[in-house]
Amino acid sequence: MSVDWGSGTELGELRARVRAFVAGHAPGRAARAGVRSPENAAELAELRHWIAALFEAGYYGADWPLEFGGAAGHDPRRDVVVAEEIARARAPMHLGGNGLAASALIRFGSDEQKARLLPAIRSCDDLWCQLFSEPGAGSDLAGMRTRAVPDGDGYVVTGQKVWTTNGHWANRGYLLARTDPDMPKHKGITAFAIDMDTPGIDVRPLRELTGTSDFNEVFFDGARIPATAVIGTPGQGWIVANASLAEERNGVSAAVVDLQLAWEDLYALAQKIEIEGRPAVEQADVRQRFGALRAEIRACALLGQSSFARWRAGRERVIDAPAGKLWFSELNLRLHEFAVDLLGARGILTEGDLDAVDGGRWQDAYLYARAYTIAGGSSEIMRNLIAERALGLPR
Amino acid sequence: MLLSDEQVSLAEAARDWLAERTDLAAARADGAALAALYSADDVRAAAELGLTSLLRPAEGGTFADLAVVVEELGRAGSPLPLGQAALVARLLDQIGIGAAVSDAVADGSALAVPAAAEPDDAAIGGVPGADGTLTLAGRAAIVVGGLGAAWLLVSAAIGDDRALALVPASSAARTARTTLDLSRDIAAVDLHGVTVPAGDWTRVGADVADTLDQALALIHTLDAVGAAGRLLDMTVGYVKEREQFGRPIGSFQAVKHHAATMAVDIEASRLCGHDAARALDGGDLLSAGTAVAVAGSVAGEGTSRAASTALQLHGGMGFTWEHDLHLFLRRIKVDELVRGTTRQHRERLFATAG
Ligand SMILES: Cc1cc2nc3c(=O)[nH]c(=O)nc-3n(C[C@H](O)[C@H](O)[C@H](O)COP(=O)(O)OP(=O)(O)OC[C@H]3O[C@@H](n4cnc5c(N)ncnc54)[C@H](O)[C@@H]3O)c2cc1C
Repeated sequence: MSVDWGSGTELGELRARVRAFVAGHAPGRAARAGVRSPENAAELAELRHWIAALFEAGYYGADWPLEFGGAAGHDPRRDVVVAEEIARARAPMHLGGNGLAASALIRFGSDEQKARLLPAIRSCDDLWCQLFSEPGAGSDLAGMRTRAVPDGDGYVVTGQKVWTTNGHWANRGYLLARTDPDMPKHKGITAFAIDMDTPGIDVRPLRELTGTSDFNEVFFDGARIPATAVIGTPGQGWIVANASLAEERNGVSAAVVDLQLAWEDLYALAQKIEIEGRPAVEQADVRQRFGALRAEIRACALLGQSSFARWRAGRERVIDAPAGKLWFSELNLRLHEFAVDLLGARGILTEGDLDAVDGGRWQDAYLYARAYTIAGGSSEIMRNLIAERALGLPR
Repeated sequence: MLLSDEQVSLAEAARDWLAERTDLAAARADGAALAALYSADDVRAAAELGLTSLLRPAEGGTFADLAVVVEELGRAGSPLPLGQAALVARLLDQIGIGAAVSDAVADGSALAVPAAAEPDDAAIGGVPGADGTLTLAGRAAIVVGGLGAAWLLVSAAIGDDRALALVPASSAARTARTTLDLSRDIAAVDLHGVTVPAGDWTRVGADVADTLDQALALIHTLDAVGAAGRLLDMTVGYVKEREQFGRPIGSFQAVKHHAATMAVDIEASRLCGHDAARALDGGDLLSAGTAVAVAGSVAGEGTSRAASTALQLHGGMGFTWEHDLHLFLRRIKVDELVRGTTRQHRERLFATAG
């Protein structure tokens, strides 16, 4: 179901190479659903090692500037192949917010910042977190109130961030804060690359509904950061943030592979389940759901491929990214709701119970599925975007 | 996978031409006679634009090109069964019978459409005679374009074998059907006792028979995509204009979200439809069958939902006989249910997995 650029072609060969590489290097443990934090230091070390190996092999960071290790004449389709193969092996894909931070630095960072920060992203010595959301500013991100007040040759930061994935592990933060409260709300925001061990920053882990600890609250109480931390120019933060978020374009192709694997596993599982004394796969409603999901997963792949093709051809439309995000996140939710329902009474058993099906994997993915319809622009925000900016409905 | 510049021009040409030619008021006239829907002149003009020869192997025609045109037929609410006719011309060329009919379809002097039993119905049977004839028995319950066509390409079963037979439409007993769809000519075709002379029929392999079934299913999917696209445009236009509570109803978020959902459903349906067309061009029967079923599943649900939402957003205005909206809503429901229902497409996707 992945983008098939043909075996025997350059990309087909790349796919075979990446597949072998992933098989040889990826951490042995299956990744949990979604964007999750390492559970302990050993897991984090393993993750750093793995992502660093991807950089070293040239599979990550090939789209970077040449002087920071990028490849000449890089073909972005290679990134899709790499993302798909990592997903296919169920291997972890990200080291925290490193990808997001790298794209902000590459597009907007100063030469000094790039030289100082990019090599440590490549080597995975640094781990970044994304400090955007606040208790009072989620969907309305531009309504953020955390202040970075100019003070001498730097800024003093006061306020609170929340839902900061990996905040408890990160040594660097990609921060958005208000530097000019008198400007209109989108214009008074500045982006910063900060050290998380700066005095005055307090990270407090939160536990998610899944039971795991992935995100945090981060409190700033007069934390002093240098002027050299500004990414881009003061007041440019909104533009920096939006540009770096838009760069995350291989997400859909990897997500499609996740969906496809989940569908296949569920299909295999359904062969073993009985409902009312008959195999589940002989029940018409079960067959219908599987058939519909198979079609919807294919549609998801096509949405991703077409927006990628449009982007490459310089014909990207406003509807492309939000349509793909909506379709994926809502389909992923439907699929995992179906999975748990299909298991019947055993569907209630979670990780830790002796009889939990597949170690409770389906329940974890079911609980996690709402993260995708909330984070990174909720389904409602995606629909607003499509209606107002793609269809031109009045605000 | 994006449309080529040529395909975009083809779509535009077809759209402009269809907008001029299509008389939706005729569809609304009570007991509208077929003659009121389209004329021989319309068929000739369509042929001149190349629309009936789009699939002929000699013209380098592709299903991907046909997809663009069929979408426009749905968008226009056109009565012309041009996708079906183009398919017949291709199949005749491919199996080497009815060369004169294929040429007549291509030059617009006659229309020909496929006649096949619906997937759940008994197949039309054929009994070969010692003299090389084929005698048919059975009926095609739903033949789109069946009344206006001069020729029918009948899909028949000879035991486990499949055959295609070209018969003059006048030799079959045709009855106009009363259906949800007001914009197209739909007939029941009874073929009992029709004898097809040698040379006008042939046994065909699964490649040809399956292509016929898949292409017919896909024509309806793409037609629905076009019709739903038209409804989206109508709806977006309407909710920008119509005011309630002192503001355009399109500024209400409930309305916006409905419209956005329509747009996403239609976009996904369109991509699946065009993907299936490319799969048919690719010639691998299994993957084409899957792609057609994917399109039928996604678009069957998506376009019908979009049509229903379009009606909701038009309020009482959309509920009137005079408004064009219901013509498209009706047509989309027919597209969903003929040549494979959403349910059948999903069953196929389940049964062929693994
Ligand atoms: C698992 C997870 C990980 C995350 N990781 C990070 C991270 O690392 N860094 C970070 O900065 N943030 C992170 N986030 C935060 C995420 O970006 C926000 O949760 C998201 O932007 C929504 O904001 P909110 O939670 O404040 O919800 P709200 O904005 O309060 O939304 C609540 C509900 O109201 C709806 N709503 C809000 N505004 C509108 C509107 N205009 N129209 C219609 N409906 C509306 C929403 O759709 C939603 O249903 C994470 C979130 C989750 C769930």
